[in-house]
Amino acid sequence: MFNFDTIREFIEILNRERKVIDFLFKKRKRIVSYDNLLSFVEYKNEKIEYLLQEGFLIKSGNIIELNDELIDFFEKFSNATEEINNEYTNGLILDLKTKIEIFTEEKRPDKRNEYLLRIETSLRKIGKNIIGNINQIRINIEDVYVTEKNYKIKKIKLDEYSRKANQIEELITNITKFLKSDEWEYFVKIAEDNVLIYVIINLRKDITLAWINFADIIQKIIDFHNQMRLQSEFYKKVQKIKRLKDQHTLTNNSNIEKILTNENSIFFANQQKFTTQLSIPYLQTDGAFFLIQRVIKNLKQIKSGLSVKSAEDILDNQFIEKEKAISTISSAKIKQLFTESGGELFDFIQNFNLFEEYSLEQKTTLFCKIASRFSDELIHNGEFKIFDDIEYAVIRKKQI
Amino acid sequence: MTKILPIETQKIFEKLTKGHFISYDNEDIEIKELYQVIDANNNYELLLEYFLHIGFQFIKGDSYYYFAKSEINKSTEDKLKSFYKWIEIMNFFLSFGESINEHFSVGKIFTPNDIFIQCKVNNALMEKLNTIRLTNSIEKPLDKINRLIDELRRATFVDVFNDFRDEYKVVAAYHYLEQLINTIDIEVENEDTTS
Repeated sequence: MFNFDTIREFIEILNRERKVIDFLFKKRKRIVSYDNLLSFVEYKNEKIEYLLQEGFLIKSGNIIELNDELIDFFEKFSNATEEINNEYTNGLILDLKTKIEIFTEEKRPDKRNEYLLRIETSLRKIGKNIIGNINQIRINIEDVYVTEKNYKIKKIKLDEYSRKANQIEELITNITKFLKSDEWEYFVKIAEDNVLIYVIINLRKDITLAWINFADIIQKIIDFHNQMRLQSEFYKKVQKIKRLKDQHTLTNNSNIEKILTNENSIFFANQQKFTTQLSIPYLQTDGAFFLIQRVIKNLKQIKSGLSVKSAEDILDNQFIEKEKAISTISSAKIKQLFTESGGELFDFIQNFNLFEEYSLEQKTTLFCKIASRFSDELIHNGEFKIFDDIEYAVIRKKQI
Repeated sequence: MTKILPIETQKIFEKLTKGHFISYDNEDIEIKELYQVIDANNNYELLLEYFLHIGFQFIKGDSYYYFAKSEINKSTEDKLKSFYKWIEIMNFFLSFGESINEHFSVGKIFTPNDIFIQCKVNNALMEKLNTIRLTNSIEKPLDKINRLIDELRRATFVDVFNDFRDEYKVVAAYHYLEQLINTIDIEVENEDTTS
């Protein structure tokens, strides 16, 4: 309920917050969140809170709606289209019948006129509503078909619009039936009102227009359904062809060979190539001269049999086997030579003529190696000598 | 009505002799313009007659144009082989559409990644991908998807829609494949109940 004391206060609030109220009324069929409204109240939360507190707006969760009573009031005032459903259709006919009954029973002229006026307003509204609803459905259907990608949802939505279209159809049928009823004809006769006749003519016009549009919409829904069905069937067909192909029975069970024999689009052909002769005037130009030179070069290559690209020749010297000498020292052999010659091991290694290119360090390493490896065949008697700053053990052959 | 061939005639000829299609909704501005040129005035009739003289049938499909000849240098077996390849490819992409409850048809926008994600959650789709053999080498699934899309793109059935986001769009030329499949009659008695 609204919390205000005077009508003046009420109108003032409406006037002050007309931006928000106008926005919410326009979006009454949509969902509007709290944040959407802030730009209409200069981002002052307290204004919205005030409207909520006063009952102008209703909040559920984060969604803000206009008070139902305000919506009704505005709808009536602005003649906005109402959604047509069974309830609306039945209610409308019943309402008209009641008003006509009252009209016929009423004896006071001013009251009769009031009811006549009400009936005329109702009739005007019917035509407007039917056309409005039909336009809305048409927009919705086209919208859904283009924007909704998921075909299952698409089908559900189309079914829903199809149901709504049927309700409009029902309303049109009922209204047409009602306009032909004795009750109505009697009323028109006793009313004797030119405005009423004018309103009826307009309503009939609207109904005719609605019928044309209605048939078109139904056709559209059927078309869309068919398109979807064809898409699904197409998928099944491709699967079936694929299966037959995998079983190698496609050519036997279908006319595919015949179709492909007759199908001569370039899509199935190799790329088309065209060979043309060069014109003589072109051949006389400088540009052509280089082209001719290139062609001659190519021709020569072809004639000399070099057109086939081959790898480089293998040079003769690549066939010569190269000996690669890797010198290694056999410590066992050295030891053998040493035991045969006798004397000191260190002296022997230092003076061995093969080791000329060896450094002192390498020779010393060899000395240590032999001394440790053949320790049981060689003997060290505790004597040490110094050579070139190196103190070494005197190692001799073991005397057996 | 003019009787002069449009200046784009050569371009049109070159495109079509490659076996390409000129679609109404090509993303490539150049090709889109070619379509508009053909569609304008009585250019189609002029070109039709002109190309017929040099041995090409200039065929108008549902929002696309293509070339045919009275005879092409391909045997029926070769055509069949080519057709089998397209059946495999279409079957895969249609199954992808089915997997996301959308029809894979003209106007559909998709990315290779969309398909890859579906392959990961839908094993039947992955198996279909695996059975397609375009090369002898083994490829990663995403590479293979990209290769399939490239096949479609090179045959001008899909076009790059948004290069940055790797999006592709199925264009009107795809109707050609649909049309071809729709003309196939399959004998009913061999129908399986499994479908």
